[in-house]
Amino acid sequence: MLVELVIAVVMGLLFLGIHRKVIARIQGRPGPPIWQEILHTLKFSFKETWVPRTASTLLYVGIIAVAMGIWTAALYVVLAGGSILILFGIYMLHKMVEHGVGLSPGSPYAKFGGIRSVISASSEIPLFAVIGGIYFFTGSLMISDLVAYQADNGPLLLSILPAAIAMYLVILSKMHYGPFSIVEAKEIVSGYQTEHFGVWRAGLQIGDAIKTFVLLYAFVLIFVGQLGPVLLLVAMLALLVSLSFICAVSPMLSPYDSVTVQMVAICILVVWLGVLVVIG
Amino acid sequence: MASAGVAGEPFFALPFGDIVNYFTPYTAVLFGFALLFTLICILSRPEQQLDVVFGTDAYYAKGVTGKELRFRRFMSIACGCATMAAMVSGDVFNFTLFVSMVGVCIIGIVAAVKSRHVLDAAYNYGIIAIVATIPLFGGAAITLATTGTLSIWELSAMASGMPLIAKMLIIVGVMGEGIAPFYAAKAELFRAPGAPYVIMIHVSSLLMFLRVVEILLTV
Amino acid sequence: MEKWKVQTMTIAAFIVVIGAWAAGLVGLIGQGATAALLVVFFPVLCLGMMLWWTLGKGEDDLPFMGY
Repeated sequence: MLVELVIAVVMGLLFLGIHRKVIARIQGRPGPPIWQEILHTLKFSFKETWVPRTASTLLYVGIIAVAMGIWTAALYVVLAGGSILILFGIYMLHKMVEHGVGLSPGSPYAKFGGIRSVISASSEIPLFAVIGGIYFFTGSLMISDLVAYQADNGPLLLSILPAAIAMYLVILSKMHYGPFSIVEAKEIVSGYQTEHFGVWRAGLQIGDAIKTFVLLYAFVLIFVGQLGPVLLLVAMLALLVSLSFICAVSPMLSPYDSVTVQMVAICILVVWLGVLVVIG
Repeated sequence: MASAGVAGEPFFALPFGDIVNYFTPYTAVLFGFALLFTLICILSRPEQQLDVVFGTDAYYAKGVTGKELRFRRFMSIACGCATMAAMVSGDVFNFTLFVSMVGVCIIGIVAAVKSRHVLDAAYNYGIIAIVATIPLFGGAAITLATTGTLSIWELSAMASGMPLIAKMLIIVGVMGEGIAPFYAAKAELFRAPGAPYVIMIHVSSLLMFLRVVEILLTV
Repeated sequence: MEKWKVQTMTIAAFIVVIGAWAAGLVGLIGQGATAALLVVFFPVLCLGMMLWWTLGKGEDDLPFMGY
């Protein structure tokens, strides 16, 4: 199980690097090499590290461990075929990491990132369209049951497309440089991560890497089904590149526009799901 | 139990008459998280917020000290305890009771902050939270009147289960306690200093929402 | 935090992580217990390993307040 965890960290960092590379190529820049995020994490972990004088020390340090811990837990839930309710619970708890990282140092920039992360809570609502849709059509929320269901009935991607789009939106709203990533916008320096430097930032990077890996893997498992290792990797990469493409061509929305766009998208998806339920 | 397909097989159950408190992998994760943040509230010192004096190079620090610190720490620990209780409760009425207690504690966490802006937001939040208790308890009352029980364990075994209107009322009630789309006032509460306590505001309402999804899919 | 505390914590976390992994492999403890131990101690091990050399000895600083 330790092996899977280390693979998830390395692959996740590589995915983040590919994300940057794809965005750069679409925008006509050379971009960093794809292993840049791995180098970043190593670099951060060798920087001299302390805690800012104004920070709430336990929260400042503890929240980094929480960030890594919750996504490790999410990885095991997906690997063991556990409930997607737990997976989505962990996704929502990641909000707490953003608040904690943002509010604990006492820096005004980090604080704005933390407050924006409260405003962007609307990005979690599509999750319930996903859960509701999947539960109505398959009668179970266990990933193992969903994989078995898809082996018999074909991918859920085709039968409940609105739920798949909702989950796609959910993943998109957590990608770096995306239209909804207002919590780390450059007008507030680095958003909620501003005051987490050195080892603390490396820890956040590791959490981020596992998060990216888990979310892409879960999307493929839930909506396409169990694939062989090579096909799985191809599917995850295709998903990632499509996300990077959206991030590259769309501007970052202002906080209130970001919330409005998400809300409108959710309403459309819920109505669409409702129509599917009535027909089915 | 019927919720095995939703939150995993329960690995522990503690019956009190027909009320059965239970731990599934799902509720155990939520309980653990509430416990972790309550411990952080107990052990952590609040941060000092730095702010720039507008139009100058000077900056000043806002801290939480003395009586204010003690009161806010107490309220956030109470909020954490109510959250933990709601996570393991096997009874719809207990759940609604703890949800409304969380609403009261959230106002308490920021009530001692000496900032007009934050207090205004707390007042707005309080109105919504208190109005939201009507559908919350209404849902529980309708459930009791139609099925004769409030035990989640028994309701999940019933063929008819909880009436749809009760489910909808309960979810509206929990949403009113502070999840989208009623969370605008809460974003303003986050401007108050005292990070460990302020975070408890969102921890509790997120966990409430995650638990209510499990309950409503189960019963 | 003093250096020896971080180093002790790291060694303890390393023993728990490797122990939980090995015990899980040979079937001494269940999958769930292995996962729970790794979830708690993997972050501690990561942070500890990185802090081993880099823990600052100098004066703490104020947060970044703009250019």
